[in-house]
This record gives sequence, C-alpha cells and structure tokens, in this order.
Amino acid sequence: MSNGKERAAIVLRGPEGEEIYLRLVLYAERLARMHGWRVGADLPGASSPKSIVNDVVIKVLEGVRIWDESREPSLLNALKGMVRSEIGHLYEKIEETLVEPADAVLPNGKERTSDSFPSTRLHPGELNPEQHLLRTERTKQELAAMTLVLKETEGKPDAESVLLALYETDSSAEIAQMTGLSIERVYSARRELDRIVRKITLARVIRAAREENRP
Amino acid sequence: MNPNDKKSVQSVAAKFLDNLASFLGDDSPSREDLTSDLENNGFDVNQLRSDFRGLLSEHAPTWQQKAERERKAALETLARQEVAAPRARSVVENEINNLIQAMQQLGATVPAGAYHQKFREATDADLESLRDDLALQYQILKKKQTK
Repeated sequence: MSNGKERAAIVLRGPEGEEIYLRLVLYAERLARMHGWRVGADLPGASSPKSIVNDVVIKVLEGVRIWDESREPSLLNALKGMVRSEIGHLYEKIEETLVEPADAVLPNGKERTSDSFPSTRLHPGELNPEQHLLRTERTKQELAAMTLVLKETEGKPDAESVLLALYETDSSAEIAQMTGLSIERVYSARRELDRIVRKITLARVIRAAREENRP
Repeated sequence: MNPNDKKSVQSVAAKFLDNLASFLGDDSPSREDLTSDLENNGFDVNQLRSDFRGLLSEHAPTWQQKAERERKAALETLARQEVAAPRARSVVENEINNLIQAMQQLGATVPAGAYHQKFREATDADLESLRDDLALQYQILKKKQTK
C-alpha cells in the first residue's frame, strides 16, 4: 500500500493535478488577502500566496507534511488546510513581532515560534496589555473590512443577500436555500463579491480602521 | 456598549470574514471560471501551469523523468572527460617526448622506449610527475653543459 507522499504524487501527476494546484493558488491568494485585512499587513518577507502553495506541495511530495487519505480523502482539501495553517502562522508571527522581540529564546533554550505565542487563541482575561491592544486593533481592522465590503456591495441585490447569509454560513448550497436564490445566482454573486473584495486594498482597510477610531 | 455587546461585534466581524474567505475559496466554479478568476487576481495561468510541471518534475519525477535525468548527467560527465582528459594527456606526452629529444641532443642516454611503455600504463598524475622529473634532469644537464 502506498503512503501519503506517493499517493499525493500520483494524484498530482494525474488528470486532476493541475486543477488542484490552480485552485490552491487561488485559495491562498484570497485567504492571504483576508488575513492581510485583519492583521493590517502584507505577507511577511518574500512570501507570496504562490510561494506558500509551492512550499506546501513540496513538503507533501517529500513527506515532510503528511496527507492522511483515510482522514481527508480529498487531496485539495488536505492541501487547503495546510495552506491555511501556513498563512495563519505567518500572520501570527507578524502579530508576535509587534509585541515581543523577534529573536527571543524560550527558557528551555528553543527559539520561539508562533506556536509558543498563541495570543489569538487566548481568552481575553489571559492576555497581557500589549496582546490585548493587539487584539483590539485586529477587531477594528475586521470591522473596517466588513463595513467596506458591505458598502461596496450596496445596490447589488444578489450580492447583498449573499453577504447577509454569510453571517450564518459559508456553504453555497445553504446560502441558496436561505436566500431563495438559485445556486447559479449564488455562484454569480460570488464572482461579483470576488471582484469587490479585490478592489478593497489593504491600505483602504487600514485607513478605514483609523477613521473609525477618530473621536 | 457593554462588554458583551463588544464581544459579540468582535465575533460577528471575525465570523463574517471567515465565512467570506471560505465562500470565495469554494471549489464549485468550472475550469473556465477558475482560469478567469486567476487572471483577474493577476496570475499568468500558463506560467502557473509551467511552474507546476517544473515542481512535479523536480520533486516527484516519474521513473521516465528520473531515467532521462540520469542519462543526461552521465552523458555530460562523459563529454567532460572526453574533452578534458585526452587533450591534457596528449599535451603532457608531447612535452615528455620533446624533453627526451632535447636530452638526447645534449648527449644523455634516455631509455625512450621504456618511457614510452610507461606512457600507456601511467595515470595522468604519473605522466605529469614524469614530465616534471625529466624537465628537472634536462635543466641540470643543460647547466652542466654550459659550465
């Protein structure tokens, strides 16, 4: 029986391989944009959505990251999870460096990683003042991003309906059911929303968040 | 706004953005839609396809690709040896022959035949060492003659 690394190579070399890769790049691009809005920063260093996808695919092909087909039969979904985790870690690192020195070493001598600074997962009561401030800033960014999306969608009824449903669910089928739109119209609204989201730059979100702050 | 309201606003915005990211990243669009979505996001799809093929070829080569790569590497090594080694060896052999002739002209008895026999068996390093020895002997002989 072949292992995850060999199975991933077989699937990626097969007829669906290229499409999986392209879908993954698009997914990473959209996810990075949303994370950027929330944290108020671009991907750090030389990272790009495509480079993150390539790193993840290489890690799976080399067996550094394991695709457990019995737990997640879809390779695309498994890769998406890994991309989500990589992008999440990169943005957590940005937040970490905002409140802690970048080169800190833990008492056990190991270099600190984002795993050792899980500020985004802590209960507010457990946060130190800097972390608390950081979380407040993040919330302002999120609110500003949400407001901009809503504002840009005004006058586009299908997209507006879909946005309202997004407070409850992320499933296209459920959105169709909730809004009464056909699934084709939901897909069409998604393309509209994709265009809207692309227009909202990180700089706009940061500016909007600052404006919200003004007395 | 009481703290509970504030908390609920926070979670609403976060959940909304999570759902939006997930909804936009859903996989339902057709292949044609996927291509145009990528292009609209500033990607060159042909370049992405080529990058993907390169990535697979490097990190998950088929046995044919592996065999082809090994064949090319072997050919390159062979070509390097064919070009570099015989020329260097023939040059050294030529220098040795010239030195033997020059020493013979100065009256030295050089067992040329024996040297010639060794040429065939000697390694490149041996030949170069022989050339250096002969060059030294020739210099000594020449100095003696001029005294």
